[in-house]
Amino acid sequence: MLYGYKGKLLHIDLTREVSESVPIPDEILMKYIGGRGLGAKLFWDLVSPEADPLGPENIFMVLSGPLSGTMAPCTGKHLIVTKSPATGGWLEAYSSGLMAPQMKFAGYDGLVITGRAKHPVYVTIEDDRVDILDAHDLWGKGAFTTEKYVKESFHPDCGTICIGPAGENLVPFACVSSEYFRKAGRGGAGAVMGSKNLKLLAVKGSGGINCANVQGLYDLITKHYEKYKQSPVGSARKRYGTPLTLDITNAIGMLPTHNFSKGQFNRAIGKIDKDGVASATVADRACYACFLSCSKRTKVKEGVFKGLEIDGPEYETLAMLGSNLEIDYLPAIMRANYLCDDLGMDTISAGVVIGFVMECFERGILTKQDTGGLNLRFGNYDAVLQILELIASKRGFGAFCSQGVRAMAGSLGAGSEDFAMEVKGLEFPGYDPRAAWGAAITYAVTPRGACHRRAWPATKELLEGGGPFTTENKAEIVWKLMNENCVMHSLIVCDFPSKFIPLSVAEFAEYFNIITGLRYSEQDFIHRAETIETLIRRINIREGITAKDDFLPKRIIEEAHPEGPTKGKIIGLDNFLRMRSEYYSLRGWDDEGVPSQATIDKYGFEEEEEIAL
Amino acid sequence: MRVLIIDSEKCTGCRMCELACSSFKEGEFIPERSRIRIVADALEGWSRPAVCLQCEDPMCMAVCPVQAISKTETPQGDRIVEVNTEKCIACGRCVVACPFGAIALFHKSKAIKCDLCGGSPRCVEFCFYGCLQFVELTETEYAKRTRKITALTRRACKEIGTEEPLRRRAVFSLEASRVTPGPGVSLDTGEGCP
Repeated sequence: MLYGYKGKLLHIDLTREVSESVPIPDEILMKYIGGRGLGAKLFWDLVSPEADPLGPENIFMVLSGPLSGTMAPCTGKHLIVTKSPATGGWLEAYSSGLMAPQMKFAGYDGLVITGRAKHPVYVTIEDDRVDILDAHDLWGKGAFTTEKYVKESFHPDCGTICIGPAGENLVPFACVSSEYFRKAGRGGAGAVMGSKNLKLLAVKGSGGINCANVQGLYDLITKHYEKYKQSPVGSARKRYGTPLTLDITNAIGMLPTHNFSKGQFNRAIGKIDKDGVASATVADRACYACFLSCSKRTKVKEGVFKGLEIDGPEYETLAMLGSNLEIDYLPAIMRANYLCDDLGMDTISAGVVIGFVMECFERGILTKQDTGGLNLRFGNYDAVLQILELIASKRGFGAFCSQGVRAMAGSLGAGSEDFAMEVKGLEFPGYDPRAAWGAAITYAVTPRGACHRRAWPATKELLEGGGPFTTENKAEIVWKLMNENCVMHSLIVCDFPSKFIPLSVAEFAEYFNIITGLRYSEQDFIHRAETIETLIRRINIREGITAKDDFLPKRIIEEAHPEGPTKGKIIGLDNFLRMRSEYYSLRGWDDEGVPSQATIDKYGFEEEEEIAL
Repeated sequence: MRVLIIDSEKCTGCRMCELACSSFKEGEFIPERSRIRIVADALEGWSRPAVCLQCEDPMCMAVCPVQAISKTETPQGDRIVEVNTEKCIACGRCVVACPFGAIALFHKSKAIKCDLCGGSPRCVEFCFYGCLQFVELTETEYAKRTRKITALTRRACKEIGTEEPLRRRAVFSLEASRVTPGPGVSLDTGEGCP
């Protein structure tokens, strides 16, 4: 068996209430690395194209990587892979906490959940013991209460994932919580858990993880810690965490404001930016095995929300529930963050959903009659806090909002599709592509819908080549970054070290080699990334997603910002299509985004062993 | 002599200490067998390490029926409480006796506890936040620390009753982390320490 891996999955069938251990052949681990790559292989083999995302046929997987549970820095993350209720296609959602390490200590590289429990259940796993327990008393409870219950009744050090009421009520942007404030947020994985009547899953392991060269690992960590200490960007990130990003995006016109109709929010300065959050920060928190501690514990010191404490808010939340809704009162954003965390909802999609209905309200497409009396003007945080609770419980106007922007725009019409900020049904994250056009191609082609985590090309665009407002080289920049991120997300390494220390794929390859005892070059990894991207593309094609779904809202392609550095800059349809087609061609896919037979043959999908449950 | 000191406020909950300890001692990443353990409540936003204080009057030593536990020194003269695994009969009395939950038994194993890695604790080396430090104390400081530990031990024994070790760790780890004279101690106190 390979060092670093456990070589098996735990399959839990909720319908039959049984579980079994499933071996994963070494060749599959070696080809797909783990995390995202392994998830792609399992999705391809196990998830039927006919499966309804919210039906018992859908499969819900929690995966680790070869570095999880070791001292390799910034690897305390797990990955959820399932079919998305938001897009109907491939979903990957990452979070951190004790889940991945504890799965490994319990002896599994991942968990595969199938079927649907007859009534609400929660599952505890202690090494090879699996208990499927009645969750009637937990159903309806918030994610915080739920997790606290199991930490007290099962084990204080267990890794957990759980859902709040939004997941139970099948909201398509319900998230999966872990360690209270960490969320696998995007694409509705929480609704998939809800559809399976699975409230919570907890794992505690007593075993260990072997490493081919422990001393080599110690030396490498020390070396990279020294490198990080020399990095001014790394230190700034540790000091301010992700809120620092808001200062940057606001300066370059990339900060979603007023439902993406503007790219700057001047009232953010000193209030909801790095300094605003720093003034509320009371402690630094770190994820498992991380020396960067970017997570900030904040506390409201005065006013109506006095005493409220959370880990966060992170950049995305500041942008989507702050500037995008023109809210500049940090305690209100923190309260919205707390509510989303406890109700179990993605703060990004929730922010875009509310931004959308606010704009509809402003334009008269929605009236107070529709909103149940809520005054949905931008900046009204009281209304935002009320809507969040209504969405999670699907009550009143919240039931309408809970569909997500694509479905809302579909039923409202009246031109609202043009400013429904989504791709494939997944709402936009907090970066406006018009400020650096590479993001336009990223959002369009990423398999889970509008998503910034497959590639964040802005830095390269600003520093290299023709600048942010061209199409030149953009497809190539995005293609390369996506390959790098695919490696990182298959190893399951946080995005921070690669961006801010920075540690390259080659440097993380060293961790992989030291831990597993294998000898992979950077090129070996990039080849695997290409393989994985193509396999995920095939998955989405099998789910009926085509080039027409690799598209952006009209606002992004045809509208310009009214002021700021992005004023008057329009991407335009031709430019967008050119970048997209260049991207397809770099991948060896045809003009419709379908992998050619030569590409399929190149990656050897046909010869490999199929994994069955 | 040098002692392991804990500045709980600086702990971020990364658990690198557990991984460093267990990999050094057991050859694999197995926090369940780490001599240092993290106690945490992520909802309330705190965490802190719990580890043996190397007491002057160790309860574990007092109750051991086969004298497997003794007070000794590392080659550099740091005082430690050590388990002789050849003598240990894995009866578990020390586990019940330690008021801080700092000694443990595992399936079919002997009692295990922190021995300061023979004088260069790995947890300190891999604590990137300055929460764990290994510092030189003067005789006066050490004596003061010992008095605090003795007082805390007495109180802990009385209050904790039959609480299981896991819970003891949580209850007294904060106070245990404060037994070393606080702000007067600095990392720079080398051999010329007054």
